[in-house]
Amino acid sequence: MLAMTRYYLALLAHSQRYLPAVLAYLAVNVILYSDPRSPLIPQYGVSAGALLVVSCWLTIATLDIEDPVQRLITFSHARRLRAVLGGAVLAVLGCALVLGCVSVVWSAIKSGHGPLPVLGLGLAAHLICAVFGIAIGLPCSRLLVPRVGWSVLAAVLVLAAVLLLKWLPLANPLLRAMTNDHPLTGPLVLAVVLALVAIFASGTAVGYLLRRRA
Amino acid sequence: MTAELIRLEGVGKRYGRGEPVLEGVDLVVPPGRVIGILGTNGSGKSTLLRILAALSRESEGRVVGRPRVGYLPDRFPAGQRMSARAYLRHMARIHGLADLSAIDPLLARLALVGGPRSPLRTLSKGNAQKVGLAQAVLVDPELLILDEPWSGLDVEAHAVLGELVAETKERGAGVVFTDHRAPVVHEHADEVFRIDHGRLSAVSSTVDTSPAVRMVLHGTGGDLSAEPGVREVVAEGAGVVLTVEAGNADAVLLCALNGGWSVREVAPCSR
Repeated sequence: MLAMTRYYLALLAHSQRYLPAVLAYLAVNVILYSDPRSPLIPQYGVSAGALLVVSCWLTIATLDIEDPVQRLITFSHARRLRAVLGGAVLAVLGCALVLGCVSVVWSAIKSGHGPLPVLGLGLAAHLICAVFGIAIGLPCSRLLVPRVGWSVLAAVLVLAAVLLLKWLPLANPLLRAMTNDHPLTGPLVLAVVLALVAIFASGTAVGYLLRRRA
Repeated sequence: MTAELIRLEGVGKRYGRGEPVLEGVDLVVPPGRVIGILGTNGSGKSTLLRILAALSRESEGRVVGRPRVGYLPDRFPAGQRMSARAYLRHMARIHGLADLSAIDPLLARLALVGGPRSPLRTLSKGNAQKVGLAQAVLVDPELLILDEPWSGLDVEAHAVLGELVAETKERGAGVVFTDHRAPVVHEHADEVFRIDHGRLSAVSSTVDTSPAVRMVLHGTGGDLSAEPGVREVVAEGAGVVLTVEAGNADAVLLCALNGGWSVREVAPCSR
């Protein structure tokens, strides 16, 4: 699976498809963390939400680079669909970890008052949101949606629902609790569990549909 | 070593509710044998190879055995900026290969223009096909699956491909390849099959050396493959090219004209 991860990271790096999303994310961070007196946790809520969108973008971008025929060759070498999907997930998660660290370290430097538990909470929230983003990106990618236009439309609709709908208890409860300064323990634990369920369900569903279509 | 690498029993394939692409295919691939599959465009060759490579699932029947495969599709879409060497290294690592020292000598043997550092997207069709071939043979597969491997390669690479197929056979692996040209298939295969409308049938692996005639027909006439003496029908552009036994040439020509075909060329052929 690590060989797959390396391959996908190399593909993504060569394609430069990460640039628009990463630059937009860095711009959000520059604006967000410009005021050193602002409390960190609500700001983390905003940048974690942004990372959810970026992770979804990166997942779709990574899986869209290979032509379907070339993907068959990759599958023939990997032999297991799980290795291919797992490799893609790890590659994007690695990118998201770097971006999450950039946000947390940047905010700590700018504010100069970030206690470690708050920074740890910030990083955890970013990673949880990244997992949600990857879970959305997998079924919206070229693996299941052959045309880019439909991919984008599907991703935008699902992202909007996950981020904005209060009754959809995925990332929304955690992000609302963070931005409104509410108690975080319950929403954080719930979000961890739901993120793991979401990525597992997304990977399983995509694998099942790919096998059925093959 | 087992007596067979993979066995297909009554395999059929249908995409959605469409017409079946394959029907009742029985095929055994033993180790150390080269199997050639002859067929026209759309006859089901590529689908059969994808099922052998476990990249497509059969709709009916059973596939027994799952050897490690090296797979070359009929076109190798090289659209990335990654170099040929880097791509092959990634594929080898994904396959589980630790020793990557064979990559550069293999690319040199295939005479890849520009060398191993050439980005994939800058390669011509023939050179991209060489990289595709390299990724398939590099991993020393138990079953080498090649979809029309000779198309797009230059003459020098044809000879190397023939050697690679022979070497794969010698080390006890199986090879299955397709082509639409009977002489090419007969030259390299131990066993020859013909696939027509999704049905696979065995063909004598000895080449029929009796006199034959090549006919180029244009237009949209009826199917002539079932006519007596017709050895091969290959779709080409807006028509077909027939290889017909010389003794049946007049009857087939008459049938073609009656069937609405326009005859463009009739010439004796060597095989």
